[in-house]
Amino acid sequence: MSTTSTSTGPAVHTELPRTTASRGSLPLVIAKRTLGSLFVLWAAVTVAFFVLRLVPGDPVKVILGPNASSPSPATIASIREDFGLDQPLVLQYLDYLAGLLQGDFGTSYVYKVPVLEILGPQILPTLQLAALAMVFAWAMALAFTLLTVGRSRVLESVGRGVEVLFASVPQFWAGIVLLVIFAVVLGWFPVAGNGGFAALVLPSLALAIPLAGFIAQVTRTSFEEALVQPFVLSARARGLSDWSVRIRHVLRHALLPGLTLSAWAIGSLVSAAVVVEVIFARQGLGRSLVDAITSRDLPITLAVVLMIAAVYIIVNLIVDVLYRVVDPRVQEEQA
Amino acid sequence: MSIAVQDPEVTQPSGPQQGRNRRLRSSELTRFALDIPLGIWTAGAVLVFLLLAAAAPQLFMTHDPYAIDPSAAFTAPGAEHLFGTDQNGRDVFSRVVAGAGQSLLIGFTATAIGLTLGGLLGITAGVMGRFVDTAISRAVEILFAFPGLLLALIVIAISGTGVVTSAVAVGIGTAPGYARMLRTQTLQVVAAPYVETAHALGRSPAYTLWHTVIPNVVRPLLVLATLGVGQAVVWASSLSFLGLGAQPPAAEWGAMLADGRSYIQIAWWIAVFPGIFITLAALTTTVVGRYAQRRLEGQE
Repeated sequence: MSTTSTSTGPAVHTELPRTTASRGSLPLVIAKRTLGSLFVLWAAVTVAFFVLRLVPGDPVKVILGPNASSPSPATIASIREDFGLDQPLVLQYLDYLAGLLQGDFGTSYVYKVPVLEILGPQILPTLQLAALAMVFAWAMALAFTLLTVGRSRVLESVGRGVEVLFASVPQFWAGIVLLVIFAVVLGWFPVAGNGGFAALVLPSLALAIPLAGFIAQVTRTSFEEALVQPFVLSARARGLSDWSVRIRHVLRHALLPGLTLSAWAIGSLVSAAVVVEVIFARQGLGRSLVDAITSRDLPITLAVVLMIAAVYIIVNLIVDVLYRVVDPRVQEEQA
Repeated sequence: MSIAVQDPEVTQPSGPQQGRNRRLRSSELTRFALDIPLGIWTAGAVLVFLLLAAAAPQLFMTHDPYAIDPSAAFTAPGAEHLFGTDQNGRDVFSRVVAGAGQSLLIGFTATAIGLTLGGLLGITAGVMGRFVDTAISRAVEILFAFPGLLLALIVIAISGTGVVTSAVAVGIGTAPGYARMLRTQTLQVVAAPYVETAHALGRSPAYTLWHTVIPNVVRPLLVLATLGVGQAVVWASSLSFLGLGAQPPAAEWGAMLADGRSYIQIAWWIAVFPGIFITLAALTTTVVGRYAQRRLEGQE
């Protein structure tokens, strides 16, 4: 099933997400997978909640801020009560779960307002960034695949080389180089900030470059495999041009592995956005996460972690289901 | 999947009658060297340079990486300062060379931690099977919900910032990937004919596990480790860049990049050169590691 995993190594993580039991009709499979994802989501919440309680230091100190002079025991007790910290851990956990179901992520230790009030405005910029990065990545990957696979040896090795190079470039360095070239030297794009589409281009390119390398590597392999199938020969025999064979027949067969990789990649895009948002001084979930970790603002840290985990789990569920709809063979192989 | 090196050419007798192929007449070592493509040689050479720089930075350093010289601040790259100088007049080239040691050490440590944790989980799951496998696979699946750097960031949140914690964080962050890979590997080995043969020969399960299964699972680890080090260097320098790993005066690639980001509009070289070295570390380990993998799997 995931033979590609061993040939690409840990640096790439191109493995297909492990799918669980999947016998039966499509609606049943979808129901099972949804339940499985809900379980993983609940487990992720639980793990994150308890693990992040291990953060050293007294939350009361964080809540009081660095400038607080030694507070009276009464103040400490009242803060503990306000934030529910006086209750047993299990009760705090159940409270948190109950709150989550109503869309309540708790109260920030540092800002003393509901977490969602702070993170709400940060969600859209990060999603825009990740979405545009995905578009750029696919555009580049498709261009590499269509232009270089099954062409001359020179073109093939150029394609392969560029893919490996792209896949090895760390996002933050791609960001710096793009900044230097297009913002500082050429002045085409702003150096930093959130101002509209122009400010979105460079950060999403920085995210897209390594991803394009990964997707193209996977797509190249499946494109190569599809190119030697009998249906390609028959399409050519019918007199179709090379381009229409490539786009209309081969590409459709070659897209699925890349699609699965993209599902995995959306989660890591959002977490890689952390670095890119810092470089481009953009607003977003990633920057909030780094700030919250530095200032030990536990509720915000937990909320961002859970949002990223939820995006990852939901997208993987959707792709897993789509995969079965698009390619019924998957089901037979799994059974 | 075959794990042993099976290069049919190597097993052929290399007599003078095989004059068609000149390479066959030369010694095994030369032939081995000539078999390796130029790109791999280049990558290997860069990798050796990085390792040398890590082991003995004084061989390459032209200046003291920590010597502050305000009068020479922001000097552009040139003959005196190959990569220019930073805001404190420190030589960027010497700092990049000095940083190789720390960055690569963090990378190796993190990979070792990741492989050990992942190996324990993955091999146990693969060998024990049944409910142990289900439990471990589920646990790994849950960890996958914290993708990319996120798991490492969670560890940093608990353990605080610093060089050591960032190595541990990256190690833990990569462990689920290794666990999944090594589980697959173990399942393949356990189902292999030679394990069945060992059972048929009446060897005890413990003996088979230790002498047959484990060696065949662990052997490809060397390649995985090579591939992993590059990624670990990138992740660790990301953490330093965010101010969560090595802290600024340190000559660590990620920390230098963070420093250089502030001066990007007046002195691009402060950020660009450490970045080139991070990319080179990732690129060369990937290229060499994949090549080794293809050789081991007998594809080339």
